[in-house]
Amino acid sequence: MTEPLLDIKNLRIRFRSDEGTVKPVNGVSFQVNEGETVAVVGESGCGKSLTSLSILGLVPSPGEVFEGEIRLQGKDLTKLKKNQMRKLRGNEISMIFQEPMTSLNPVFTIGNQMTEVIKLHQQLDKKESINKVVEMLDLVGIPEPERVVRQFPHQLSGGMRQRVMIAMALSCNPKLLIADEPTTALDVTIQAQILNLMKKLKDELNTGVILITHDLGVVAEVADRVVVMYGGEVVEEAHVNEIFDNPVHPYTRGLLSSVPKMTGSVEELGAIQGSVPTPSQMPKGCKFHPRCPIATDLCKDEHPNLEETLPNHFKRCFHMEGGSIYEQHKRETTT
Amino acid sequence: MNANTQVEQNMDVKPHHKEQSRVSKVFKQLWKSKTGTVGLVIVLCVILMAVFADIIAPYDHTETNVSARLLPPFWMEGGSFNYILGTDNLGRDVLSRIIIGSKVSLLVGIASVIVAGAIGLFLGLVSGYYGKWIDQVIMRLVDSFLAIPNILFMLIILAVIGPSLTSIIIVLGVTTWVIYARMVRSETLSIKERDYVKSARAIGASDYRIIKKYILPNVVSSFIVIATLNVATTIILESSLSFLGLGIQSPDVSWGLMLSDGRDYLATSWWVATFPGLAITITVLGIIFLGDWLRDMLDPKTKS
Amino acid sequence: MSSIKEKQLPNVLMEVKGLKKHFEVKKGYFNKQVSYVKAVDGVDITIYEGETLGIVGESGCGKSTTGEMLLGLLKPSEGVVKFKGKDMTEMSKKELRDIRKDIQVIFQDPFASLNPRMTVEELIGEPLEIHTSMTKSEIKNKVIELLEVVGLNSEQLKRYPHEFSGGQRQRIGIARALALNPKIIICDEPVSALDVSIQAQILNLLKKLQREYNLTLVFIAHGLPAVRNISDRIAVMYLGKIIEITERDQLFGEPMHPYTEALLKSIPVDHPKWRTNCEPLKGDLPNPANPPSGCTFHTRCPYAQDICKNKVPNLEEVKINHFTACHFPLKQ
Repeated sequence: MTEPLLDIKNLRIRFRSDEGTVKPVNGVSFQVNEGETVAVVGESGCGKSLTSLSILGLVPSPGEVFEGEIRLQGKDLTKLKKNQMRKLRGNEISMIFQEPMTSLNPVFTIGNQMTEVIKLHQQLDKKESINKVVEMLDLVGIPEPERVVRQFPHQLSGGMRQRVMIAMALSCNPKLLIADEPTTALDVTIQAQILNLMKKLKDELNTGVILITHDLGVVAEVADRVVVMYGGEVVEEAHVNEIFDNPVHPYTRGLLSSVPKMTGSVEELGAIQGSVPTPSQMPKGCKFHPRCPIATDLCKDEHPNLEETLPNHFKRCFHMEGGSIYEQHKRETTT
Repeated sequence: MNANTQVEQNMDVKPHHKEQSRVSKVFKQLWKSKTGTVGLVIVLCVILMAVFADIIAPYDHTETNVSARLLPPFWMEGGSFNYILGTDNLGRDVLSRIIIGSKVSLLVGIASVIVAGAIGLFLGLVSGYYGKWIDQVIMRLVDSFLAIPNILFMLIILAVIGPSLTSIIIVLGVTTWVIYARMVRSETLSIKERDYVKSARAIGASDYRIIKKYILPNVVSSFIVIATLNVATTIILESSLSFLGLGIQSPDVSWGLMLSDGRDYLATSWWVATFPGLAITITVLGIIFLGDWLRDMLDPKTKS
Repeated sequence: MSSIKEKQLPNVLMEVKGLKKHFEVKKGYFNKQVSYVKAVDGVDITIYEGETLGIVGESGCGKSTTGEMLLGLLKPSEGVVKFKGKDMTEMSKKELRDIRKDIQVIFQDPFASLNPRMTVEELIGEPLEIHTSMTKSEIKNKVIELLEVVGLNSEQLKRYPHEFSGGQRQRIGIARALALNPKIIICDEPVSALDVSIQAQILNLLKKLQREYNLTLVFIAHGLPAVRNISDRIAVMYLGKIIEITERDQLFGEPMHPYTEALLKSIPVDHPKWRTNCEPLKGDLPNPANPPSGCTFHTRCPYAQDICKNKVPNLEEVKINHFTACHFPLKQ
């Protein structure tokens, strides 16, 4: 693949207010290829949701993208006019939100809302678009789609609503799908169904997916590549197996060890000390240094760059050079 | 949706430089909100005017001058600087009457809000917190008050007990408490279900303690806002009563009474009714601005 | 008493029998039709001193309602809640208030569970003010001590809740619950509103406190990994009933109820290399207002047979200390 589907370069978002300017997203770069699921992982306030909203041009006011590029197949989305952007939304890029309760309009039927989207972007008449809706609902595993078309959102369960949201998002065959915590509000058994659906759809359609989540279990289930964000920056990026086997950044390591496991012995969890910083009180130097177990004076003053330390494995840290596998790799390549 | 709340959290700036005294913080906030400043200035002016009315007023409000009846304001033909805003049909100085009338208007506005607020706050808290039959009784009472037209109700009571300053305050208070009771009740109902009230019950706090420490402080901000806005409404209500002849009685004077006195001369001498009307408008606007600002101030999120 | 003996004969701290809570749902304004949501429908649990009992289940299974009844905040429609042998449902208001010293609670949402108008000192000191005759300065010293126990800075006494992060607020909540040296703390989803790295801090803190104060914990949550991490015994609830209860390793190793099995399979894997494509459980949770007949799980159960539709299975001890409510318990 020569050109990535989506290429975000040095994206920066700022919020200006009387209290000053905060930059919740400060130099984020990553790529999404066709048919690839990229998980963007981080805790609250790390800028992951804002990054995804900026792709759709939906950064809430008074926020603005003030630097960087977001290229969808070479076309810079930050330069698009409002109505051009609107044509893109739901058509080439679509989004699924966390809360399926509030993202569907309660006063229209499912069929109504879905044909709306289809009619907006595709030249189909009423009957064709209804057929398309039924086909989409069937695709996402909704039983009796003909009946569901006539139902209102409140008549469906949370899991079914999330399926409808996915069907709606996919109805115009988008090139890129952004899923913002798609399973967080769902019960475990329903989450498993939705994750399974996402895996199935990934194989069937060639859609690039950005999966925003804080849940490493979800990442382990569906992601191909993982982008770990902290304090408005990417701190580590690698293939999903690589992240789980050989995390290099201390934050990624801490995050992985702080998740309670379903297998193995029950030990003290490796918690990361301190609390998640807010953009208005972001520390100088490496953003993670106040919570980092291996921080040195260098980390307090200097800001590390995102570097490729292994093939396709990027990290933003001065230390941790000696990740054991990294050393091994270096030895192998030099000899 | 999600991003919105996230941003809000991100923007919530925590106080670093600690004790930058509360007063100066309040003023800083006030200065930021331009309408709030305007509101505060207006309200302060009116209050000062009411307090020092007898000193400021160039004439006594009862002093008549038969030779100077219905004089226009100074900038019009026939007007003079002796009577800046002109005189009424008995030759009384309009400006002096407005200044002295502010005493009664403001007193009625504030005192009746206190009466109504106290009744409403108490009944609303009891009704919302205890629920069950107490709630039923109080809410049916509220419904019946809402069903009777306010003005009619006031007129009947005033006609029976006779109009005086005290009776007007009481009547206005007794008829407007419903607003507070409903507001306080619905707030109480929602606060009662919050986890922090459950946690208070879990540590064994008594009902009295829960109401005093958990519900009241969390109701009070919306209450104060509604109360300020209602000062404005009551000033207008008092005007209506005076306009209908059952409000303040001469020789006392209020803005409402002036309005009612001036209505017969509206076609020929507009200033007699217009200036007190203007005084009401400006005061009410000032109070509304101040109330809006208070609402922002009392919200714990914007406070720090 | 030797430690072995203690394990054989653990003291019962709380005992719940036939606990039910039915909420009325009224329809129509004039001729009222009353139907009932059976939020909790016959729960029996014994809680032993010093243990951590996990209660897991999906939304609407009645786990939080059960917790509120254990706390005495909600009156059961039926059944008995015994604390140290005394029935809480028959206590007077005053007795109940006294017993609250011993049964404390930690809530899910640290943003909603602290009164926004009280300072940290007032929040943590309040239980002491109510239940003890300590002076102001004694209370203050105790509050400072408690702040240190939960890992907060004692300089933060005069701050208000909104000045703290979620994790710190949850620590304040824990300090408040600890103030009266309770016997048991009911934790209702104490970590699910927190960031991942903070969840681990709170779980570790709870485990540490339990060891140090010999606390009994009831840990109510929907996240199985967290429950596994902290609990000694685990009860699984489905539509108002306990369908399986046993020791942790037993539950994760040999689940006997088909629902538990499906629940375990639904948890996302720990590592990407263990991905599978199986869909553990079809269908949605039934509406608790209108639960299925017989075994409430039969609509989703892959092993359901005719008897499951008609006969309600009882919670029975199938193995030692392993109870399950299923007509056909799984054999591993």
